[in-house]
Amino acid sequence: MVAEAVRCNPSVSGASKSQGSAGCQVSIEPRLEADPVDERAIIARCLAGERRAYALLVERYKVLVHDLVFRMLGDAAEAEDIAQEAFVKAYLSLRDFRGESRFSTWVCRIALNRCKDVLRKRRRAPWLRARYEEGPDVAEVADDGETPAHSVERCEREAALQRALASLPVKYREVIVLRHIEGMELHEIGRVLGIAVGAVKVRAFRAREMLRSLLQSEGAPR
Amino acid sequence: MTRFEELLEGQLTGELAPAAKAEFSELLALAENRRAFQAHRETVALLSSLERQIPSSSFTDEVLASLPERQSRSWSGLWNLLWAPRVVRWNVATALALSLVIVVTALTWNSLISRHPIASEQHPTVTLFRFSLDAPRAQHVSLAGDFNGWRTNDIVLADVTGRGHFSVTLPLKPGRYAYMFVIDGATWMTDPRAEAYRDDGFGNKNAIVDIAAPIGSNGDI
Repeated sequence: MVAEAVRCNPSVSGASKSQGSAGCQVSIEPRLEADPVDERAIIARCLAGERRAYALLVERYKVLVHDLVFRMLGDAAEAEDIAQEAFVKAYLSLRDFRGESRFSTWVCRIALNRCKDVLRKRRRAPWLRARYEEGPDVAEVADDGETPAHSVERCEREAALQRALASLPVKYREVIVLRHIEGMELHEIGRVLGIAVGAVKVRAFRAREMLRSLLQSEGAPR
Repeated sequence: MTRFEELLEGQLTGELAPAAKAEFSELLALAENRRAFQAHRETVALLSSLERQIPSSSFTDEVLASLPERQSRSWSGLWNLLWAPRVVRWNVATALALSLVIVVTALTWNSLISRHPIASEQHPTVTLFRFSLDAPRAQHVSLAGDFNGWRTNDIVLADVTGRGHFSVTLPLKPGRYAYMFVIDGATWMTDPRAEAYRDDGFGNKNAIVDIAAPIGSNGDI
């Protein structure tokens, strides 16, 4: 298994996110709030030929889809391309969207399927994954209110975590990304992956165990 | 998966009901469980501390630029005809002819209406199409498709024989339509006897029907 490094660039990251609490539970900011009726209206406008209406959906979910793809592939440039492809494919299949689930669930599933294609190709052609094996860019690290030393430390921690994520088998990686990074609920993850909620719980539990073990073996900074 | 592991999943995200929470607290009496809980909590905290990667500022524009034009069939043509700026040249003969048409139409309008009261309600290109499904165990079957915005309770199929053979006949204009049956308001089912199928993006397939028949021909599936 080959670990995948990630170039940390705080200047392009920084979406706000609540930190884990020190108490008995970790709070995750609800990120997928969207009115399904409103979404149906937007989709109806897209189907009626109003292409600009689709921008509303892209704007609403671009960070989610882009981050999901990035966490699955570990490559920011590739994440941008694949996330855009997912939105285009969703648009082309809009007539087949039945509204059983939210649009975000649907587009995430499309994006994840595309990620799996890319990961399969990488397995067959390992040299494809080499181009993003760079360390943190110190020149870009300085951020508002954060010293360069702290920024470097945070980048190293994130890079170690991303490497550990990349070492997880895909079926565990996708669950842990959707659950603990994108903040999806169990039943929604089940819909995205096409598996039962029970299976989501089992995979999430095992994924955390594996991830912890990987981080410990690497001696990741905390 | 043990009971502790199952409860742990809910506890980590604060989704446990009070009773389950109390049960979880009891299980934490075991040192082994406490260690596992602590380890999982730390891992979740670490994952939650990751900052989201933001796409480029041109992300949405690039997606829109990649989209093909989706013409709203005849409406876009009509819209252009009505609203596109154009120069109209007039002469006296054209004005007189137009005036004559307006006068004749006004004089004959009432008689035309009274002679053909339902002419405007008939649509010459509609084909009657029967959708049917054998579902002996179903209580209620409805039809949803892109022709009704995938609403699940608009079109209800009737079980005339009482033996689970549900059907409904719809007037459809020529075109290609995707549809699914909805059993008892909850289960989506692809028509096993559809003419064609199309992937719905979730691993299932929507049934497809092509309406191209001329006036008067009825289909049955």
